[in-house]
Amino acid sequence: MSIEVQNISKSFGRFKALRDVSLRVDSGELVALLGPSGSGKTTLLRIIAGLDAPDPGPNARVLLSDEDVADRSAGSRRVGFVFQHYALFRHMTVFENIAFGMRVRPRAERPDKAAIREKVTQLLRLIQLENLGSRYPSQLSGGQRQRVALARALAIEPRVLLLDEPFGALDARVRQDLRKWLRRLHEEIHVTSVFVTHDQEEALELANRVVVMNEGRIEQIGTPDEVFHQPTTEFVMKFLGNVNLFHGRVESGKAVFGPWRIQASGGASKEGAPARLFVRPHDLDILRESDGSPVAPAVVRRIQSAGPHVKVELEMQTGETLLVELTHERHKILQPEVGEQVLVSLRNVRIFTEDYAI
Amino acid sequence: MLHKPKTARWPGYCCIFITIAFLTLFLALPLTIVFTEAFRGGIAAYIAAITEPDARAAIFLTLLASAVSVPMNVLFGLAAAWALTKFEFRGKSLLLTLIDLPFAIPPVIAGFLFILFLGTNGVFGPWLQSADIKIIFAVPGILIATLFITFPFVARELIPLMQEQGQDEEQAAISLGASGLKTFWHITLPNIKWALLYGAILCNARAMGEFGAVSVVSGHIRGATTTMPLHIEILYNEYNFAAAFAVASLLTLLALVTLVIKSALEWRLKREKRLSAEEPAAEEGVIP
Amino acid sequence: MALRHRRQHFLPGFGLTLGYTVLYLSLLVLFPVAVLGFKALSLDASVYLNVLTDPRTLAAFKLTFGAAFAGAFLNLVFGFVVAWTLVRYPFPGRRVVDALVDLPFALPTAVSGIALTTLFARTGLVGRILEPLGIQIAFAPAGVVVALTFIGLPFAVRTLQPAIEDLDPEYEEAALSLGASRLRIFISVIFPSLKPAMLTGFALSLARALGEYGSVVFISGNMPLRTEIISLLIMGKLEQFDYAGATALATLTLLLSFLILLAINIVQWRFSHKARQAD
Repeated sequence: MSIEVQNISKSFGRFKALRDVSLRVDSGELVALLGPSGSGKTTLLRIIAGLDAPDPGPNARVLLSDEDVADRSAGSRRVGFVFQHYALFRHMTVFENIAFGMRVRPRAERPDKAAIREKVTQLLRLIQLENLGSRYPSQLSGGQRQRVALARALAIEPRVLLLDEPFGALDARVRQDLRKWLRRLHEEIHVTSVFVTHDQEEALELANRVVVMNEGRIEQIGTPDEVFHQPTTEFVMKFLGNVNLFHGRVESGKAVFGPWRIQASGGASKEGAPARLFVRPHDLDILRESDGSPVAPAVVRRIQSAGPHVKVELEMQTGETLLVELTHERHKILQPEVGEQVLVSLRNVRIFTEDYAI
Repeated sequence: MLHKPKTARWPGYCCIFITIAFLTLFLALPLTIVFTEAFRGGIAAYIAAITEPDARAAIFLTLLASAVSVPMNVLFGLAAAWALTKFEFRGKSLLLTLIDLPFAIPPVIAGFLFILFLGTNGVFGPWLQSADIKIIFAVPGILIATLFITFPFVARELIPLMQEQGQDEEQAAISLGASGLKTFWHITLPNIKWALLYGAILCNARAMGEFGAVSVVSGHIRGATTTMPLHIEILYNEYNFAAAFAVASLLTLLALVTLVIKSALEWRLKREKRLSAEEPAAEEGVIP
Repeated sequence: MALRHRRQHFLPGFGLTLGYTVLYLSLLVLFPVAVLGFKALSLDASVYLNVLTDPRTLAAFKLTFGAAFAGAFLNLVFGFVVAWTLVRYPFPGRRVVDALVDLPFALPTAVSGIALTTLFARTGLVGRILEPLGIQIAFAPAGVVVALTFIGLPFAVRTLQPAIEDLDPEYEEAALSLGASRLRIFISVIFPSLKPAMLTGFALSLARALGEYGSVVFISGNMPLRTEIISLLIMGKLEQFDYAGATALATLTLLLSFLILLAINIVQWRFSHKARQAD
């Protein structure tokens, strides 16, 4: 089932949580809403669920399976919502928690006891907690609570599944495991899902598509590959991974940053306009001798080789610090030393001037 | 908590001694006095004192006052706590303050408020008189004064608890398709039942024991508008001490029962709080 | 209580519960209080003057407020010792004692009144011992203080107890390891951190004492100019149907109590403000 929001705004008092947001999630997708706190991602999720109402507007609409649900209450939208802190019913067992959504249905639609039991057992198997049905939430670990919350949401056979920071309260190792598990679960049951996260790694690893949000707006929508490798805004560039920043100017149609002059392909900017160059640490290389490409001199300040990459901190002549990530092979060949004069070259860069990005 | 430095122990003994001495003088002795005085005239006199018609009428009226004010204030407490903890609106803190107002008004003045409000010369006096409704110096007045005095008890217990519990569980229930009433019944009520009972117990104790406010609006008609505390006063002022203490002993038993239930509930509430604040269990059975 | 219009609430029942709350509160509390307010404003100034110049009123004010302060202060001292003992020193029967502290709260005031009177009267269990020493408690101002101390005790203990429980032993241990004496530790470590709770306990037991009637009327003996409290004076005026005089007295009492409690609140606010600034 698809989800679509159109022209949604939401303010809390003077604070604008969402500013004219539109988004479509197709059936079967697993989409991440990624952004820093206060970016409006949770608010958007709650509006889809009907837990919050958007500001009234002539074109503001929320559609589930292309049906306008503005007048549908949260309870009748058949949306599975997994709360950030799980919101398990503390006085009910795991079994009762999962069964709740079925048991509170009006008598005519309520499955009989055996059917409920069957369904709950099946869900318990799905979340691999078959033996813990009679435990209370307080007797469960964080990861187990998370899975129970998910099963409870799935029990109502939701049209879409919404998860608010699903792994936010868990420790790193459990997070990893649950991430993989959720990915597999989604492949298995294929329910349209949207989850909120502020962890870029989580979003990139888990989602088919990532929606990057900032200050109530959508910055970019794209596959993990797209948002990581072709960020369309500075914010996306900065938010997804480490990045080095150079300040420069536009000179005769080219953006100039020290020794680097980069052709501005799409329409020239105003002469002298400020430009900013972003380059990821792994898109920088260290050279001993110039290979013909433009290079800038720098001094090695720090080398940290523990980890998947070797991190080298360089100081430019302007005093700016650069972070370079080398592969271990490259590092072995180069063997840079602290204090050594080296040359830096660029591979893949993104430049942002006042009005466009290259 | 039991970190006893290995220094002198006398301060501890001193504190225990002062505590026991002070509480004996102020709590244990008065408690004992009530029962010794009550049985001074023997068991037969005791039974006679609590079964004579006026005493029976007083007991009945006291039970009535409690039977009216406990449910009314439970209902009010639930409504107020729901409105004040589940929603944001302007004037909320003012409303919270106003709910506590009856605690800040001396009982005698509280009773007087209702004389001004509903008495013969009061605001509604002429109207009530023409409709032939007597409230002040009659049973309804006693009930209203008791309602006023016990007004905040339930709300005060519920509001902080429900504030702390937040509304996540209610939201989850609604998103799972539960109706408002079902959410309240299956989710909210089980979470607050002990606090609700606690508030009701305190409300009941106060309702049965209220003296000042009731005294003002009662008119002291023996066997008709006297509650147990007022009956005790009348007997005491007639120097019928044994009978006064006999009736008082019933209220004292009620107080003791209240204390027992109260500390049992406190223990439960503390435990539940601890349980809900507890860190999750250690991770186990992580998915392969 | 203007509600923000067009505000959509997610949970149901807002209008119903708020409406009921406001209606019930208004009927039972706000209207009656407002009636007193109107009545108080419509009174001639001479009524207030009469009340204020009546030596009986002045004596009653002095006794009520004086005894309430004395009782609240005694509760602060003994309440602290009791709370400290209950938290820090386990002794057999502690749980019973702990539960018993609430007795004055649960016991109807009329019962407390006659029990305390019988205990402290000249022929009573305690009065008999004090009589030869020339100390009279029942039917004397001291009796009022005793009754008010009794009434306020749970308020003092129950506010101090959690504060003492929350005291971090680390501070004491740190002070002890620095070689401070126990008295020193108490004065410079424990006392300052309990100050806000002490003030709250004092305010609560004072507020309760200012309005207390049931327990006092029995033990005081109600002698004009000597052992009459304000509530009793109001009662007397009501019996003579002097509603104007009663209104004046009630209004003055309420104003004075609110002012005192407000002052305590301000001091308390300053404490917590200072504590926050120090953080």
